[in-house]
Amino acid sequence: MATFQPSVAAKKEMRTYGDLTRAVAASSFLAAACQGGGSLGQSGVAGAGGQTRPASTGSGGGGGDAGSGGAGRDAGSGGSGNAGSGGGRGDAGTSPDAGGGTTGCTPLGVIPRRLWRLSSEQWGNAVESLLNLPSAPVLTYRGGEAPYPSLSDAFLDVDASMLFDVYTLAGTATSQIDPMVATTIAPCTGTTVEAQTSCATSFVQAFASRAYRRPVTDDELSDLMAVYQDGATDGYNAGVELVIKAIVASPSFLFRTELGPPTLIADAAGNYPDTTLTPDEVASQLSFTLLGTIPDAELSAAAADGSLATRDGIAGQVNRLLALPAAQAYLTDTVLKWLGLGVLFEKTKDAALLSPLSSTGSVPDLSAIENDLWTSAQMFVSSILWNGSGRVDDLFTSQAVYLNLRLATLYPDAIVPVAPSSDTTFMPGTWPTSQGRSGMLTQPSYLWALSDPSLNSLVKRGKAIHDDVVCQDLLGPPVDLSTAEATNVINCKSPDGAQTLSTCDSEVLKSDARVAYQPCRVCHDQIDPYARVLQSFGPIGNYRTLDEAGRPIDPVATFFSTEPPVFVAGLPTPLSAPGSPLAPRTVTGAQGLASALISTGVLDGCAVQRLVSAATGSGVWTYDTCELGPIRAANDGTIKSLLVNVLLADFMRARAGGPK
Amino acid sequence: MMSYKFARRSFLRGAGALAPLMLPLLRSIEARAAGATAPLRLLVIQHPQGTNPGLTNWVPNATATTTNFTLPVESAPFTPLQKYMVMIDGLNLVVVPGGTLPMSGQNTAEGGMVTLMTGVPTIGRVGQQDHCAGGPSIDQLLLQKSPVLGGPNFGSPTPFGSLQLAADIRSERDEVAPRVLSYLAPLPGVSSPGSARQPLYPETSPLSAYNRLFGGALPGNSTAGSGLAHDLSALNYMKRDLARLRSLAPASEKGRLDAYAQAIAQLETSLRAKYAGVGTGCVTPSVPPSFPNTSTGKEGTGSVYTDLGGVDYYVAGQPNSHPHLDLGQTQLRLIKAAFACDLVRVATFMWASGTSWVQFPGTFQGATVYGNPTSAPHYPVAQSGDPATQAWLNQIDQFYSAATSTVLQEFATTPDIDGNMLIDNTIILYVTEVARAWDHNQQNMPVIVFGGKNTKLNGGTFLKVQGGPLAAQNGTIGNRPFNDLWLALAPVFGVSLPSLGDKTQYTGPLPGVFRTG
Repeated sequence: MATFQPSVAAKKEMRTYGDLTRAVAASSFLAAACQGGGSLGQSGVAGAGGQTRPASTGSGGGGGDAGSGGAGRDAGSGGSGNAGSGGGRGDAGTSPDAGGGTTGCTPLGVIPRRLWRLSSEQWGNAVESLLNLPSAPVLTYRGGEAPYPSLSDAFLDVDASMLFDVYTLAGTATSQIDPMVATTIAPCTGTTVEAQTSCATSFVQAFASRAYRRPVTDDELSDLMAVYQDGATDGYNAGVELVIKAIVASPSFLFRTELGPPTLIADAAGNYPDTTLTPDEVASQLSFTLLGTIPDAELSAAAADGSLATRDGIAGQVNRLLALPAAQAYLTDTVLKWLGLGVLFEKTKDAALLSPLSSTGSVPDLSAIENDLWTSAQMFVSSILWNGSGRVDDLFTSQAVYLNLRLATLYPDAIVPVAPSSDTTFMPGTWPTSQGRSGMLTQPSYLWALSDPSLNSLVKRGKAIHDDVVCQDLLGPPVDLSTAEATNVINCKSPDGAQTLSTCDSEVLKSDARVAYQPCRVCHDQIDPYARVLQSFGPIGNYRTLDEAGRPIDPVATFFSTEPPVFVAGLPTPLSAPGSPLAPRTVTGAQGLASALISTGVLDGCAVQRLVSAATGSGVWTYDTCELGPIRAANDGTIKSLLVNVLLADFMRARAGGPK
Repeated sequence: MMSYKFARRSFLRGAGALAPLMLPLLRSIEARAAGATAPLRLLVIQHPQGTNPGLTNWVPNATATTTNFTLPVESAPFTPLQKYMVMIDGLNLVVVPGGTLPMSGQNTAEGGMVTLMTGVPTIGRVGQQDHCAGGPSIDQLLLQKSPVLGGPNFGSPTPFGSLQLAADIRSERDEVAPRVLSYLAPLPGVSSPGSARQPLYPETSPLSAYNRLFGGALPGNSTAGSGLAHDLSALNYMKRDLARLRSLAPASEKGRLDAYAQAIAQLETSLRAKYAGVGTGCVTPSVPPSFPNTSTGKEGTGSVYTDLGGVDYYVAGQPNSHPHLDLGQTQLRLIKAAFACDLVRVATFMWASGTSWVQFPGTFQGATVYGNPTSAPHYPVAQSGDPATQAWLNQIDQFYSAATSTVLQEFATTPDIDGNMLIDNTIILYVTEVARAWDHNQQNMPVIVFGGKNTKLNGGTFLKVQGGPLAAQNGTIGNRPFNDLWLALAPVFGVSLPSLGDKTQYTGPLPGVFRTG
């Protein structure tokens, strides 16, 4: 069974800019398409995706959309899809050829022994922790990392530009700490060379062990002390600072190892056996996943005393860490990145939309607004996950919003009992019931990020929800939009151009054409419905009752099961797209969508998928991935339960051997 | 000018304790002083969206090859360099699509960029038009094979291998194909074309490029003599740490560790340059300024958009500020300095991606684009054939010619280590990914080759291609595939390249560009 692991070079596609999501998605689709089945994902499942879903109430009593007339979704040539045989989550139903067996799920496969480069944020956090800096150094060159990565990519390298930046910032950091070297960083009262060497030895051993997340060997200590001695020709401080620079720019600092015990021996054929992470590597895994930095003393002690070799030990540390404000802040940002909110900072907006802020004649500060929106989103997520119910579902239903003076001015219809007095103070508020808002789906930050400068983008919104809230299996590459058929449909005509479908003067009318006609329909009937329900909210998340053409908004959407594969001009194989797990269903408004996402269990299931992606550093793009099933089954819907179950999963610690 | 002997003593005295560490640099200087031959360099400069409205404003009024010609308005800025140039008319870009999702790529900016530089069939696409390179780009191919360009197969005499710089890399749909000139060979055995291709993304910050090349921004040391020694001690530790990891890591991680090793090697070069300077005969350029983005994600709608930020020609409220021009010329001057200091011998520079989103004023150099907006992005509006837009595009083309010519003239006045000028030892190609913007025609591709006396270029020539099998824009038969130029170029760098690409993509080396013998 082919297992999906993005190739080491997959990252190169989107180096520097771009979205790892798209890179891996493209890789995944093309691999599947080359198999000729038109199916997506890696399992070679016959039909359209073999995607099974949790039981949904009211849809025929079976798994997913079994009630959709027998063919259902995924039936295809597999025949069984997910019809009625599960009634539960995850892997209901069977699908021939799926996984080579009868579970209907796609195995993730054992993660290979590997080196995992710290993200630029993690490197900065780790240096900040090590040196007690007031703030984390920020790398400019990040070795191909996307500007707003949705996860810490396990496939990135350290390139020349990044290492230069690392070494430069290391020098800046050591200059910063210079006054404290002999007092706090590497305390030493001795004035003789011998005394200072002794101090330095103690410091280097402790510092390097902490930096490398494991005890250093005698050889490493010896090499590091040689660096100290070279630097110490200019004094104790210079020696200590030089060895710090060497450590934070070294591969053992920049790479997390997931290699298993150093005593692992290759066999006669030169292959390492399968193994598991060492306790130190588990400590790194927990710490970087939950805090984005090196393990604290208690976690390191747990690694040393063996408790991280037990499930109870791991669970205990995870629960301890989850109570830390630093972890909660890091995970809040992880959630926002999962939802793709980072692109918020790349947007421009039509000045007319910002008119409430320009009434005094000043030009609205777009950058300030976007920072406000990010802070508002952080506070929203945090208020629910860490200070509220903790339930992921509530992220998509809550009526709360957090506004400072600037945002309160921009969104005057929000109800804020205690008005914010300044742009630095955020106050809690709620939305009017009549607007039908629903959690993250209608937070201004989310809608701002997924819109165009002056118009909603049904495609951006729909695709974001399709990919990151539903975790619907990936669509294929877009069809050739320059063909006559595609151009006609884009312009709201029939594919042959003979019939004009509408005045085509609104995003909804354009969407109507895309959803109705090939070659656009095959994908857009899977994308557009998710966005149609959000039409009551404009390009900056403002509430509206009329669309851009002045017509009343009707935020109703119907979710489609998979259609038979279609032949599209220019493509040698038929194109197909996996159907919505919410199908067959018609929903109204954001609250209707949120309700469907929750009642079907899709939202929780997607949360598991995305957090496993974050914890493993590589995207998991198939909903019915076998390893996710037990996690979903054990998850009680709270963020803490979710994270504990992800980090307790055995596959998180298993590593596959391979050639030396 | 001081005698070499005096210069050497002064140099070493000034180096003090650094002297032993600077010997590699000194050997280079000594080689120069002994009158050694300067190395040949290769620079490819790309400007986006062809020449508009067509050939009339670009090529001289000549029907055959001639050395007596006058450059028309779009190429006129290169007139001061006429004796160093061969302008070629009659090469067609033949795009051969590949992969299971072929989609032609012919007559597209995206397919054009990839095929222009690699000359081979693409291996598929991953986006709307994101065609994936099926081979190394010509600069990388020559770097690997040429004994004179300083590549890894010939002892890597230059510390940085090759350089990829750009002024702007915003592209439609953020696709990779239009915003990359240089590629390594695709990874073997990788079925996904998007994963197989290996783009070398250009750097858009002159300050960052400067810091890396010339060792700027690294914190100095209060005792300069010991600073380099200390930092080299740290680097030596990093190398040992890397060796330790190699002994533990599986084979699948070899590439990652190799990349780290290369990064350490380049950091060492930067450190040496920082502390030791680059010596006589090489002038370190001034520290360039920062160029903050003037557009942070300028968007369109539907499939015509970019989410990337960049530096524009037009800046709202600042009519005299044109940072795109300043940034681009700064980058070209960094390349010039890097060549002069033998830090690299191969470089590519993009003014902007083939689907450029650089903002220009709606009225630019007297021409107002259709609709009379305050400003407009280059590529999205360039698809229109209306006369007003064509006139506007024509001014932009003139702008790029002038901006490039200004710096290339400096190549002609910058001394090289052999006593000639830098241009005498540098071959520069000025290329574009389509012949014209409105229909992306790729016949009669605009191209100029520059080079001085040691490059064997037949300078001062307008070369009208004839006798080939391909149709020209005017329908007559006689054009040749663009790869024929690469086949003619390769031997200049000591590379035998009898063929390149599919059989439809070449006929043989294009005669008349370089002197034979």
